Amino acid sequence: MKDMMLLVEPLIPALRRYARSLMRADAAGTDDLVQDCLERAITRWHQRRADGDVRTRLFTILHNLAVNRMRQRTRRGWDVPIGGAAEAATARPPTQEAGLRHRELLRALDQLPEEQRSVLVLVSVEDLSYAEAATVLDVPIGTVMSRLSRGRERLLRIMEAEAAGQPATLRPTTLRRVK
Amino acid sequence: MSPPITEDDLHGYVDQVLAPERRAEVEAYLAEHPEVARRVAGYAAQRDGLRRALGPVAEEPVPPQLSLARMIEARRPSAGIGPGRPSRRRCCCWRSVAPAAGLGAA
Repeated sequence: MKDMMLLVEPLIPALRRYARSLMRADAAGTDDLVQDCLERAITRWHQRRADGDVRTRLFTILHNLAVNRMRQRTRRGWDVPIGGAAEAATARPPTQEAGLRHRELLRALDQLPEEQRSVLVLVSVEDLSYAEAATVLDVPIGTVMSRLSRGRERLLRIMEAEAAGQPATLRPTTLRRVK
Repeated sequence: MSPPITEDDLHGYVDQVLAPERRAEVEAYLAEHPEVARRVAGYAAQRDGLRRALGPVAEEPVPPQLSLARMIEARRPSAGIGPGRPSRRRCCCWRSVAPAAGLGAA
């Protein structure tokens, strides 16, 4: 299993990041998802294709687990916690203003439909190529591009609306109604 | 005459995956089309913002729950967990906390 340690272990931080950004969930829940992903990867390690890319394979497993989890929650009427990725990314930003911008951006990200959010994060943050993202999501590259385009445009509109609606100074925390 | 600039080219430009020649063609196009340039700048700033906002997660220390070595070890029959089935641990049990379990013990 030594090659597995060498190939998989370096990917764990990125897998945690992707799970955190995808799920409207708390951090502990997303680590459970990553654990499931790793367990599956271990189980199937000897069956893996020689020509398969390990990173793409792991992101595929994680993505499918996340989507299933989200679907289960929707069916059970899961109460979506406000913020999701915005709350879960708790690292201290360089400045207070940068922190506010980050939280707003992540809140906006949470508002995207899952299919746009996943493409946006895989491409913009996880540095997957369009082809790799297509493999992870099991869609044609054309679909990746159209989701990327819609996701970026929608995110831009949300942020512009935020900027237009908010005063320039710090705003008090408000309760945000969740759809 | 180069092929017309497409939406895909714009995203390729934002994601920095265009060949140098095509990148130059996109830049020339953007210089002539300020509205599009503004949109592309917005996408680029957004990409940068997402990387900064989410980057810290990947810098966090990996929690014990996600120790690959421990997961692999737990599947060995000698670990006493069972016939090689994965251990479904979700708590923070770690070597130093449960030495009696014999997991990872030298």
